[in-house]
Amino acid sequence: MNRVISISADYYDGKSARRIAATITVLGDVVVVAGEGHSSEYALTSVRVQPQLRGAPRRIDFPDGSAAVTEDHAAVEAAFGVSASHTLAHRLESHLGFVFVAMIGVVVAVALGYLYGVPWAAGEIAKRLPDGIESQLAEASLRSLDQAVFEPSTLDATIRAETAAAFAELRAATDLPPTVRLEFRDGGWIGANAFALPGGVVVVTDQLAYAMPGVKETAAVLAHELGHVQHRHSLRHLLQSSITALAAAAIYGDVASLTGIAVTAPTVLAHNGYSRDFEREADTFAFALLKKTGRSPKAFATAMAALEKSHIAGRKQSKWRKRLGFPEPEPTPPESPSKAPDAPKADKKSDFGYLSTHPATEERIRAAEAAAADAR
Amino acid sequence: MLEVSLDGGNAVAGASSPFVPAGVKESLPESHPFRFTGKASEFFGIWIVNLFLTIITLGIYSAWAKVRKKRYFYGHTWVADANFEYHGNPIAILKGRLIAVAAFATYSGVGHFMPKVAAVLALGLFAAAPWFIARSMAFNAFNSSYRNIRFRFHATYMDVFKAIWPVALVLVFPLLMPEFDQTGKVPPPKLVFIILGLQMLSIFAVYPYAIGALKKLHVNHSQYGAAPFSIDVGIGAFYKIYLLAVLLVFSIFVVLGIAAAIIAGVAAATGTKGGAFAMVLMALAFTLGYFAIGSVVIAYTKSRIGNLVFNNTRLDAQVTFISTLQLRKLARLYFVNMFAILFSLGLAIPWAVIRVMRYRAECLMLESNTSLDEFIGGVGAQVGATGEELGEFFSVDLSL
Repeated sequence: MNRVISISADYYDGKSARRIAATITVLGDVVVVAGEGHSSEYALTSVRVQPQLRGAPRRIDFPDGSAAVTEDHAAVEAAFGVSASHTLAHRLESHLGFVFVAMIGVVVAVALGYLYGVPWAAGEIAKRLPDGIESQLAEASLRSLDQAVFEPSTLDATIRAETAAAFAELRAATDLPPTVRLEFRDGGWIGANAFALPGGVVVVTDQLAYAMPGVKETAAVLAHELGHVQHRHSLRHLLQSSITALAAAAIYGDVASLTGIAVTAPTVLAHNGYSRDFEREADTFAFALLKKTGRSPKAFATAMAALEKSHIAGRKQSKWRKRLGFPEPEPTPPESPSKAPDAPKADKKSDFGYLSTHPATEERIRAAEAAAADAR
Repeated sequence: MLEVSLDGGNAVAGASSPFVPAGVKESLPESHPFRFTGKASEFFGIWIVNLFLTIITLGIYSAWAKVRKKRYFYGHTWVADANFEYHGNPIAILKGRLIAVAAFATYSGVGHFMPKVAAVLALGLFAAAPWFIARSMAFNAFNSSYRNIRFRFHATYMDVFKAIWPVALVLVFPLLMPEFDQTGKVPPPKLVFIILGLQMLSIFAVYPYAIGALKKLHVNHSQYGAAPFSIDVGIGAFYKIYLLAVLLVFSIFVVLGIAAAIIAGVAAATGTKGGAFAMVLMALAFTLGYFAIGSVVIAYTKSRIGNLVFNNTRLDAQVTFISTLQLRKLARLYFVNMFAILFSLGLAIPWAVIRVMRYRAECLMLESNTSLDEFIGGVGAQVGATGEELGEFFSVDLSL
């Protein structure tokens, strides 16, 4: 124990940048620093040894503001004791087993967070937000859509009345309050579409109403939108996007600039995954609601097919719109059925499904037909 | 992430030092390459443990994590046989982070529901920004040292304000958006598009100025001990770099557009079966294109601005810097990094970071007319972390 340990180090007095090659020796309660033209002594208790960080040189601070830097970790540990130099963090970082556990832990946490954590948190926050805020949001969204894309509706009065009646009937069959209302608009360049805005405003475009074979099919689409309203998808969507963006920034933010990765990529993937879940949820709600009001989910399948047809017809035009960089309506309304054909028809087995916002149209048509078969 | 000068860490790093045997008088000027000695395997351990502990402590550990990460980067950055050191206090950083989270939550919460109020809030934050930026730079500098001499930064509110005031122009546009009443009378969409367009243009016009002015501010108000840094470069040089970057993006888009048109043409000619195949090709082309544009553009701006700043920076008239970052090499690093990160589900991040740090160090060198031993320290007060954390959280990434 009385063996004298010497540490060779670079010593800096803190007053100038001059490097002094020095030897540090611990003699009982005294630490002696000796080097070219320099010598000093300090009480052992006044000397602070920096905890180790893998591979990095270690610093020893002296009370007069001077410091020594050394890579001779073994000598430092022998002279000052291992406990002074090994923090818990260092032990964990250099323990292969724990690194592995941490890796599994992070992967599991990210997966669970994505699957359950974010949707759960968004749901809880949505529940706690006062209704006033949500309806304010609805009015704001509708106004900005009116401003950017919509024109006043020129829908045929009979179709309009029938659609409104179907909506009222569907709404009455749910637990939703009477404040949930239907708005008619000319969709402008958006074309055949329907939206559920947060706060329970459902918008249906003239183009959609005309694209449907009959009011029965329009009603099926409205039932789907009521599903979005029932589950407060718009609001949850907004919240989930914010939460995912925050989480991605926390994980990747500080390295993004160094590695050139775009933080948006994982965020967009997560966002689309959530959208698809919402669409399925709304579909399921729609099938049940249709059956409850004496309609057949088959109408939803017909509506999907009709939308796809109208969309293909209108695709040429909308493609140019996109290419010209026309912005998406803001804030982003939840995707509605008319966009479903964006999921390429030919690739129901390919990976595009994941990148698309909607479950493949055929999948949804089949689900609707299955639901209709159950009803019989 | 506010490093311009020698304050180490992210910005600087080094290549092997020419070891001069003791007793041999070095000839002046001395040149000292930077060198970065971090290893991906070591950093992976630190990174994953940081992440794990941050998750299970619901973010609290992130302040400690940051200190460990910075200590690792600084400690492995060498020049002239000495390494840099980071001394940030995790508690100070944690306090800063809490304030930043609160500000961000308020801003994004209000932003979704009341865009106008959010715009006013943004202007309010902007008014506070010079103070935060000054604090942030001061915190970073004060907590960085080399050879036991600390770096320093001192700038007044007005100094920073002069560098960033044009940014306010961009923030004003949302307030100009026409109001419209409930009765359905809608302002002409053209007006809306014009305002949005002007806002985009103002961003392009202001960004190079803000980046250049902040870099200049950072260098000109930094000190190593008692020795001041200075930079001699005009704002025009930054405009030139960003203008070329925009042209670069534009030409890449043209090339990609032609490629997409050819694929689409082939698809149309070969019918449905070929169409599905073309879709796959198209998706691949867009993914590759996205990565390529990303890496080339980021590499372009980072290498050019890094070189511009370092090559025009002096320390006390005695020390100059030579930075030789190459667009091609940096772009290749970024491109490979993106794929590695994507296919490893993020686990390759430490490896990717270390590669970039090492390359940056290899490309940096300092030349000194005096011995580095001559530099002397000064005295300075403690600096809080809030500014830096707010800056980081809002992704005001001003690093090289």
